[in-house]
Amino acid sequence: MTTFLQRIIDGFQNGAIYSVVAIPMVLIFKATTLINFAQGELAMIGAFFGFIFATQVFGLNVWLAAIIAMALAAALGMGIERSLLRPFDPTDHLPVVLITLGIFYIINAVGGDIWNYQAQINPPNLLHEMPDLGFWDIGVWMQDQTILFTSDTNPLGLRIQHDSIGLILSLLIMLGALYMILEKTKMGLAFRAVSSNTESSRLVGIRVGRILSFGWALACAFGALGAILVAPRITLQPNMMAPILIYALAAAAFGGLDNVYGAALGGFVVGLINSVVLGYISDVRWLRARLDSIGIEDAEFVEGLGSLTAAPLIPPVILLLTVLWFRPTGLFGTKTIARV
Amino acid sequence: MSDLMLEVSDLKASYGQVDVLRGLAIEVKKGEVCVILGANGAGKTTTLRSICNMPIVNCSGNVKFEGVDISDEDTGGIVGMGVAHVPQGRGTFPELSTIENLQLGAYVRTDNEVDDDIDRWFQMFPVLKERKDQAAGSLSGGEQQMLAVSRALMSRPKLLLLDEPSLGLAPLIIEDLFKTFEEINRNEGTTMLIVEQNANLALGIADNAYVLETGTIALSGPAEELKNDPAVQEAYLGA
Amino acid sequence: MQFPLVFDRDSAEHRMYRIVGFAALAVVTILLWRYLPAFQVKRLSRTLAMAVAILGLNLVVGYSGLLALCQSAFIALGAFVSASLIVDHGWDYWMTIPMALLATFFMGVVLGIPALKIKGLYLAMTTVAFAAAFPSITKLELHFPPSWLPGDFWRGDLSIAHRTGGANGRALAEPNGLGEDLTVPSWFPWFDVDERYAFGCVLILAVIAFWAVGNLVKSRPGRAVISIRDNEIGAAVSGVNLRYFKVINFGLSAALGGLAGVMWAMFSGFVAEQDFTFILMVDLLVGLVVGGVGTVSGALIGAMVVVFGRWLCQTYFNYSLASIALWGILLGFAMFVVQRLDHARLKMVSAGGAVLSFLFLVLPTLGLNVFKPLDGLGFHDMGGGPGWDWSTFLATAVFVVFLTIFGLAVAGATQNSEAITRAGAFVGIMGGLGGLGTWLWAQISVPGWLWLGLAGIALAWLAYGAGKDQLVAAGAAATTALIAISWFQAQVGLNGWITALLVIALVPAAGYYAMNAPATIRPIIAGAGTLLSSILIIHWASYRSDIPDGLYQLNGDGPLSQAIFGIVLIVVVFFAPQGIVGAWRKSWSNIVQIRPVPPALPAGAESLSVSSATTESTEA
Repeated sequence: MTTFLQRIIDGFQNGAIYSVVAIPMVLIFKATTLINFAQGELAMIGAFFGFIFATQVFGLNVWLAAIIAMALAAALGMGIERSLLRPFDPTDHLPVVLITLGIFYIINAVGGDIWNYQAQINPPNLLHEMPDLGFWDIGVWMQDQTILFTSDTNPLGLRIQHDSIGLILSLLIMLGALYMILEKTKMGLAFRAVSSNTESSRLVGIRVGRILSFGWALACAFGALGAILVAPRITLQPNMMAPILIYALAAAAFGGLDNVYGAALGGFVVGLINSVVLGYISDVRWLRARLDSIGIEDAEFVEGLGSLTAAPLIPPVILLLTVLWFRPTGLFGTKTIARV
Repeated sequence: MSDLMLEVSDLKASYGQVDVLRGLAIEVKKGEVCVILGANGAGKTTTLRSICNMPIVNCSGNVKFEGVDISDEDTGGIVGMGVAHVPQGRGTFPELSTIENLQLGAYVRTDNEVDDDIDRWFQMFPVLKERKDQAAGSLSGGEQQMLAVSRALMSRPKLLLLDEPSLGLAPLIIEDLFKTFEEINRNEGTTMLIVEQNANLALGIADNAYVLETGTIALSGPAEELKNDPAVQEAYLGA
Repeated sequence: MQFPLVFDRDSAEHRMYRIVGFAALAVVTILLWRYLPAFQVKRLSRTLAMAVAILGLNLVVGYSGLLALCQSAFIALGAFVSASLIVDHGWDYWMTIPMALLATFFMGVVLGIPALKIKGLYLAMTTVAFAAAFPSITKLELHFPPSWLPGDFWRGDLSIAHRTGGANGRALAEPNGLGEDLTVPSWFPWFDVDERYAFGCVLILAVIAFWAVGNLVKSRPGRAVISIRDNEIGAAVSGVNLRYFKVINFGLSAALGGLAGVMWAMFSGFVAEQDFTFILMVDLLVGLVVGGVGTVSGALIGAMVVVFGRWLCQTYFNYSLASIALWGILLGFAMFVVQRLDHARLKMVSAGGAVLSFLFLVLPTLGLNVFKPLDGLGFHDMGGGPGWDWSTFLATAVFVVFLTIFGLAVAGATQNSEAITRAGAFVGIMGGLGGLGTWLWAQISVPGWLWLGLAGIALAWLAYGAGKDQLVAAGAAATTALIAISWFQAQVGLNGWITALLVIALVPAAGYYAMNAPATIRPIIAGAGTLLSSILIIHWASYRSDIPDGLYQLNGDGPLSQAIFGIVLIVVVFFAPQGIVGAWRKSWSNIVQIRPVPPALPAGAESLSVSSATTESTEA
C-alpha cells in the first residue's frame, strides 16, 4: 500500500514534468493546427534564459528573471511562427512537421554549442524563492529538504519532498491561470474562436494573425515558466527536454490535440502509468510473489519483465495505441468530419 | 450621393483561370433591403466575399462604404467600420457556446452594452436563450441561422450582408426568418444586402433588387418592378 | 541544336536518351566502386541502405500521404533479425533476407491496421513515439521466440537482449558466434577489399529494390495508392479497397526498411540500437524531402545528401564557432552580392568565382598540390589519411555539386533565368573565395584574420560598387559595437545592467551613424566592421577546445553539423518544397522534354479518341 501511494505521488510529479511540454504543444496545435516538435527545446531555451538572467549575467531576482525569460521565449515563439510557419498551409502536414523538426535541431545544437551539453549547477529555483506569507514562509518550507511525512508522523512511511508538492501545485496553478486567460478574457475568447473557425473569426473582426502570434507567445511563455520550475528536478542542460518530448507527445495525443486540460490529464496519466506499471514490474520480488500465487513459476519470464525498466517508453506507446484505436482523436479531442 | 450606404463599381474577381465577376456595379441605399438574385454559379457569394475582402478571392474594383473607399482594407477593419457578414453555411463557432458566439459578434465593440444587446437578441429568438450554454455545433440548422444573424447584429452593423440565409432550412422556418429580417430592418434601420435563390420571399421584403447572371448584372430595379418582370417571373419565380 | 529537345515518350530517341543516361550512371558507379578509398565505399554502401529505407518511407509518406514516421524501427528490426540469424543460427547473409523481409512486412501490417483509424498528426505522433521507443525494446530480457517452443531450431534459450546485443550492439563476426563479416570470395578477384565486395552486394539489392518500386508506383496498385492520397473518398467510391491497399502499402514500406536493415548489417558488420534512434528517422525524413517527396530517384539523391552532407558538415565546419562564423560571413557576403548586383556584374562575378574555384579547389584536389595539408580552424584534411586523395576530390565535388543543385533548385522554384545566374554567382563566390581563403591560410600560415580582412575589404568594395551599402555598413557597425561591448565586458567584468544600457544605447547608434555616414566612409566602415567583428568572434571562439556530442551522440558529430542539418531542412522546405528532383526536373525541362504519347486505343473507339484528344488540347 505504501509503495503504491509512493508511486502514485512519483507519477504525479513526473506527470507535471510531461505536462510542461504537452500543454504548450496543445496550445500551439489549437492556434496553428500543427505539432510543434520543437516545443521541448523552446522550453529548454526558456529555462536557460531564466538561468542566464538569474545567475550568469545580471544576477537578477529569480522571479524577475523568470518573467524576462517568459517574455523572451514568447518573443522567440512569435518570431518563429511569423517567419517560418505562417507561409505554409497547415493542412499539409509534412512541411510544417519538417520545419518544427529543423527548429528542434537548431535550438538543441545552439544550446549544446553554448552550454556544452553539460548540466548547469544551481539553476534558479522559483519554489525556493517563494514569498513569506507571515504565517507561512513558503520559500523556506520548499527549501526544507526533509521528507514531508516521516515514519513518525505517518504510519505509511511515505517519502514526499516539500518541493515535489510545490511542483505539482504550481503546475495546477499555472493551469488555472491558463484557464482564466482562455475562458475569461476577450483575447482568450478570440483565441478559441480562431481555433474553432478561422474564417468566421475574420468576419467578426478578429485579426487572425495577431491571435496566432498570441497563441504561440502564450504557449512559449507557459513552456518557459514550466521549464524553469522543473529544471532543478531534471537538471538544466540542453538535452533536458529531448527525452520528455516523447512522453509529452503521448500525453498530448492521449487527451486530444485540441484540448488543453486533456493534455494536462494526459501528462498525469502517462506519468502514473510509468511510475506504477514500471515500478511494480521492475520490483522482481513483488512480481515473483504475484506470479507464484497464480501458479506461474518462470524465473526467466520474471527477469524479462523486470528488464522493462530499461524500456520506459514502451508503456506510453502501448497506452497511446490503445487510446487512439478506440478514440482516434484522443479522449477529449474534437472529432473531425472528412468532406469529399 | 450621401444616402448611399454601399457603392460597388467595376468589381472583378477570379478563381485561378475562371472569371467569376466581370465588372459588377451595385448600389445600396441607407436603410433599404437590397436583394441579389441569381442562379448557382452566378457569382453571388463571391460578390459578398469581395465586398468584405475575404481571402481566396482574387479581386479588384472599387468598394465604397459610406463614401469611404474600403477596397484595400482588411476584413477585420471592414467589420470594425460597421459591415457584418453572415456567410453561407452560417459560419458559427461550433465548439463555442451560444452566448460566447454572441460575445464574439461584439468583438469589435468597446462599449459596455454588450450584455444588454445579448438580452435583446435572446428576446427576439427565445430558443437561443434556452440553448445559451450549449455548443453552437449542437444546435439545429434553423437555430444556427438565428444565431448567425444575431451574432452579426451584435456588432451593431450599419450594413448587414446575408449570404443565402434560406439554405438548407424548412420552408416555415425560412418564412419566419425573413419576417424577422423585415422587422429588424424596420425597427433598427439596419441596411441589408441579401443574396438569395428563393426569389419569391426575397423580393417580398426587398426594396431594390439585382439579378446576377454569369458575373454581370442582368437586370436591376425596384423589387416590385422586378416581381412583375416576365423574364424574372419565368426564370426565378417559376410562374 | 534547338533547345529544348523534345522526344516522344518511348520513341527510339527517348530510349536512346535513357540508355545513355543509365549507362553514364553505371560507369560513374563502377568507377567510384573501384577507385574510391575503402572507407568512402563504405559510406556509399550506407547511402544505398539509406536510399532503400527512404524509398520505403516514400511509399507511405509520399505516395499514400500517411505521416508514418517509424521507418527507423523497421530498419532496426531488419538489421537485428539478419544479425541474429547470422550470428546465433549460422545462416548465410543472403538467406536472412527473406526472413527479415517477412518479419518487417508482418510488423508493418500489424502497425498498418491501427493506422487505418489513426489519422493525420495523431498518426505522426504515435509513430514518432513508436520509433523512439523501439530501440529500447532491444534491451528486453524476454526470450524470443518463447523458450517453450520445442526443438533447438528456434534457439528459445536466447533473449531479445542477447540477440540484439542490448546497449552494446552486436558484431556479426563475434568471437564465439557463428557468423562472420562479408569477405571477398576467392573467385572475385577485381574488388580486393571487403568493403568493395559488400558494396557490390548492397548495390544488387538496391538496384532490385529501385526497379521494383519504380514499376510498382506505375502499376495499377500503385495508382490505387496514389488515388487514396489524393482523394480518399473519391478513391473508395471508384472501387479502391482502402483498407487492403493501405495496409499492404504499409507492409511493403516496412519491408523495404527491413531490406535496408539487412544491407546495413552487410556493409557495417555491426548493429547497435544507438544507430536506429529517432535521429535516424529525422535523417530519413530530410533525405525524403531534400530528394523529393513522391519521386523514386529522389530517394537516392536524398540519401546521398544525408550521408555525404553530414560528413561534409563535419569536415568543413570542424565543429568550431569560428569556422561557422567564417562560413556565415562568406554566405552572407555571397547572398549580398547575389542580391544586389546587376546581371552583367553577376556574370563577371560568377566567371571570376569559377576561375578561382578551379585554381584553388579543383586543381589541388586533382592532385596538383598547390596546398599544404591543412588543419586548424575551418578546414582540415578530410578524413582519409594524410594529404589530398580521391575522397577529398569527392568531398569537394559533392559540395560544389550540392551547392549548384541547391542553386538550381531555388532557380527552378522561381523559374527565372536571372535566378540561375545568381545561383551560379553564389556558387562561384563560395567556391572561389573559400578556395582562395583556404589557400592563403595554408600558404601563409596566418590565422584567418588576413583572409577575413580581404573578404571585408572586398565586401566594402562591392557594397560601394552596388551603391546599396547603407544596410551592410549599418549591420557591420552594429555587430562590431555589440561584440566589442561584450568583449569589453568580459575584460573589465562590467556589471550586467551597465552592459545592457551600453548595448541599448551604442548598438543602434553605431548602426544609425553608419547608415547616415558619407558615402565615401561607408565602405570603410563596412569593411573594417566585418574585419573587427570577425577577429573578435574568432578570439571568443578559440576558447573552445572540446567538442560535445550532439543529438547524434556520435564521436565527432558535434552540435554545429546538427544545426547545419536543421538549417538545410528548413531552407529546403522553404525554398524548394518539391525537393531536388522536382526542381531538377523543372530546370531540365529547358533542355530536354519528353512528350507523352496517348496509348493506342482499341479498334472501335475512334470517336472517343478524337473527342478526348480535342479536350486535352484545349485544356493545354
